[in-house]
Amino acid sequence: MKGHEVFITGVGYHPFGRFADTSLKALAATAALAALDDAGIGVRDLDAAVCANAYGGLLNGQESIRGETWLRGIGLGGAPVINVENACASGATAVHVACMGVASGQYDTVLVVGAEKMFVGDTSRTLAALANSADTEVMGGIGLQFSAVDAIRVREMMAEEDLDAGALEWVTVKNHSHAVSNPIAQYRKPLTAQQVRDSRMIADPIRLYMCSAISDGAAALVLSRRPGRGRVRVRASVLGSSPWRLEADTLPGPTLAADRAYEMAGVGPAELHLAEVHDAVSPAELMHYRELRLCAPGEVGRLVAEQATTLGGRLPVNTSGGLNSRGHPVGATGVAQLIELTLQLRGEAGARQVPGARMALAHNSGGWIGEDPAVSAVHILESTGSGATA
Amino acid sequence: MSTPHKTNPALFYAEGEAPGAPGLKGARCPGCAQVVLLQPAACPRCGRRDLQPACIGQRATLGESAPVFHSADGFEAPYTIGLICTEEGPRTFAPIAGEPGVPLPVGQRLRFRLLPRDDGRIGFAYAPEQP
Repeated sequence: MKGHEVFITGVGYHPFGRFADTSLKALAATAALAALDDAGIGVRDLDAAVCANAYGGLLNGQESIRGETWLRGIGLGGAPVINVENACASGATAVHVACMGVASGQYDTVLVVGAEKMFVGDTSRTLAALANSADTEVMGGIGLQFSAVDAIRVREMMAEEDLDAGALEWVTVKNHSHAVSNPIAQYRKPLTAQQVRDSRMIADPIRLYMCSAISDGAAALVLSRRPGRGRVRVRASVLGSSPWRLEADTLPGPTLAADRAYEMAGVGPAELHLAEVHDAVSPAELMHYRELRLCAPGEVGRLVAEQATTLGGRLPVNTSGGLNSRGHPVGATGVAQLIELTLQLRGEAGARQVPGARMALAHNSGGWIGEDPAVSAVHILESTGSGATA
Repeated sequence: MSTPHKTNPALFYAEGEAPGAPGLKGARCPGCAQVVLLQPAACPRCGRRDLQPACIGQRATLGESAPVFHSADGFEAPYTIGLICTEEGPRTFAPIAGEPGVPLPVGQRLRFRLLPRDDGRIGFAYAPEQP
């Protein structure tokens, strides 16, 4: 990254799940205070805060100043609060903004909080809110749900990679097994392939247990110019919007973002030890293997056959359980991905620990415009300390 | 007699609203001939700001499609959503009219069709082109 070095010095969260009696403010405050405690600082040590949320206006009735309302409750006053809304990539967008603030020298220490409260007693309201994360002039009113977009993309990938439904079931089972030991995760029970296969069809070939669920939750990070505990450095922070596909060889949005991140970090995909990718439906993870250049086109089936992306494999993916199992409280998701990577790079991931993890990538997507996600964000983190033992 | 409301007024023309209608709303750049969906203020290829409105997508071919099993927007499940590739180039998602749950092959030729909706509005779908 250009400018000053940026380190993640604190992580905190409110577990993901259904918390009927917990307000959005309370979710955010829990995560924020935990991150400050983890960093060993107080709220008065903050120079700024960046807050991510996507649907607080539509679902919770709070517009415009969500972050200020969240952080007032933990004693923050006077410091700037920047509110970020960028669909399912709101969290990574907030991290990107915070990185800019630290790298530029404008701020020394910035708090990032992503939070979402999606259980509002009316699932149809929540689904309608989610559908707004597309160009509503084009994709509104035509029966298009994100599961259908994902189904169509997964079908393309299955044809190109010669995959069958077994691969989709495998990746779902894999991520559920990863989430078992993740205290943030919404679903911590393992699934069998048969259970996935027996769950009802949502948009063929996407079944219910392949879909990330509605979730309440919050995640927070402290970013600083000083290394702090764990010495986890942000090597790249990249944010991109949906490209215009004017040429047949235009690369997908996630690939463009990943390529810029690899260039910024000065590393290649072969140097990664693990990755968190945006599996709003679990089979999307398989697409991201090639979009993020974790494998070459045509090699997705080989990664599946080798179980290379499971814990114990050569490149574990979604050790947190991914969106599918950890949960997807939209504004928190991109931040939670970086919590998982930070814990892994510190060697503090417990039963999920990837031995020797020193370099890791997070990919967070949001919304849809044209032929790509409206937002593609990629971060690359590195342990510059003792890190995880091999 | 009043004109029925459209489900997506920015996305498609009904009959008589433009030469060649019904079809999707698009624009053609007089400078580089780029055709795009909707009517943006500037050409994404060359930057010209005098794009000409055009009715596009009367014919298209089907990319992948997916049967959907959860009702939404007044579409009763099961119904089908597909990625359509217009003859002029732009690609977008659209409802596919056909036998519910019966998949159509990739490459199927399609025609734009106006679709009366239960709420009285006019929507659209792409239907298989008859031989």
